[in-house]
Amino acid sequence: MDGNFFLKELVKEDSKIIAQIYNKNFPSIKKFILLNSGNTEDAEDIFQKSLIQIIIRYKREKFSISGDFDAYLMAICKNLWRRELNLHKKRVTNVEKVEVHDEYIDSSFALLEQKRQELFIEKFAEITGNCKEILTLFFAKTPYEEIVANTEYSSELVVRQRVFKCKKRLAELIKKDSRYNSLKEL
Amino acid sequence: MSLEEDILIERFLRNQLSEKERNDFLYTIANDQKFKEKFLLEKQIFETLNEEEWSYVSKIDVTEVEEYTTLYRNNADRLKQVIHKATTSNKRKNKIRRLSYFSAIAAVALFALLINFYSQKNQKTIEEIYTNYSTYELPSLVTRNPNEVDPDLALAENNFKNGNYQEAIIYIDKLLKKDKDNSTLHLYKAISHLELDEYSQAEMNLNSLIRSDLIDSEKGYWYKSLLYLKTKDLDKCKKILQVIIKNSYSKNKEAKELFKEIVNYKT
Repeated sequence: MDGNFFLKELVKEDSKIIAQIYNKNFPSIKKFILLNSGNTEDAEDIFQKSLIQIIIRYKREKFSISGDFDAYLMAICKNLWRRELNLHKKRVTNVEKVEVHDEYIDSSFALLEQKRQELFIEKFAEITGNCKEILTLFFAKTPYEEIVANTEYSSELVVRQRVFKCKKRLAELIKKDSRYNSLKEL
Repeated sequence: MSLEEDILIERFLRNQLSEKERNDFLYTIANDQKFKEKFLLEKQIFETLNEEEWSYVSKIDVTEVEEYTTLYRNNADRLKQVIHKATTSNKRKNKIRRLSYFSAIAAVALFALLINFYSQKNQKTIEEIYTNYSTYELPSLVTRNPNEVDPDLALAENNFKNGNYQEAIIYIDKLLKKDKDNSTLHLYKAISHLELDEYSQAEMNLNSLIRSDLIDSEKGYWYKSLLYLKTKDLDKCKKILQVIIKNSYSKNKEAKELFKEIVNYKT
């Protein structure tokens, strides 16, 4: 499904297009949610929230989707569900204080979090292949000794230094982008 | 930022600091604006690019938040109705189309057909049945002992869980070269092919698992039944389910339920 074509039709709130998007994408969205501790009702809710997020975002900034619409929609659904699950975990474990906002503020926060993630992923794609590889292992919380054992780095210290440099490069790229100003934590 | 500061932030984010170290860390954040900025960016990157977590907005410039909140307030409820209507009207249209077709037929035939129509209307589609049963509850590939974690296991599992089956297969194949007798890996591989609609490859993987003397080889039968369900080969699916039920293999409870659902299925 061509990204921009479906985006433009969706924001017109065309019911035929919405039905087409639903028929094509809902089974895989539902499947992802069922596989990750949710139920059909959760899947319906996430599907609805994701379409609303796209429409609302387009109303403020006429953004475009460079690739496939289905893949973009799926990414938003996965993020919204990941957000829900982590929120639930925080509430249950009480590790961090969870502030309760009204529905509309919370949806705005989720939208800005999505934009922040897109920016970070875009910048991550700009760093070197070697940095991407080591940071992927780092973000997956792979222990340093395992990284040493499975890569060509000679010691934990060398890995730490490499991770440090790669993160620094990534942070520089993010900070340099003007979009970060309105998305950064103060 | 120095390497030492970076390590300190990382240990804080991974919850590895002692109570005293943690208090000192929080004190520094409260009193050193530059360090706080570095920490906040590091935290956002770590939480965003680590697939288990999520980076929540906490305190950012309010301008955009307010603009979006206003847009949500003015449009969200209406949009919910539009989406709800669009996603349910499709089903209604199909129903109306079928009813007009039947109304053209003679009364007796109509009566007979209507019975058939209503029973089929309530009948789930094969896709729906498949979706309900294909919630793969596979054991995790990653052991809880951090000293034994192979990064490829984490990458295989993450890609699998996120539906990136092609990438998952790359790591699974690497892992199978090191550990060819790991039946869980064979299942992950077969299911990945199944999800990619590569049925003959999936069938081949499951057959070799079933034929092996590995401890979990019987689990292959359940996934083979799902394969035939997905390809709508209900006769083969039923035969496999009967094998599971007869031998009380793994998932025999689910097999009984699925068998009941499809035994008289009208295609």
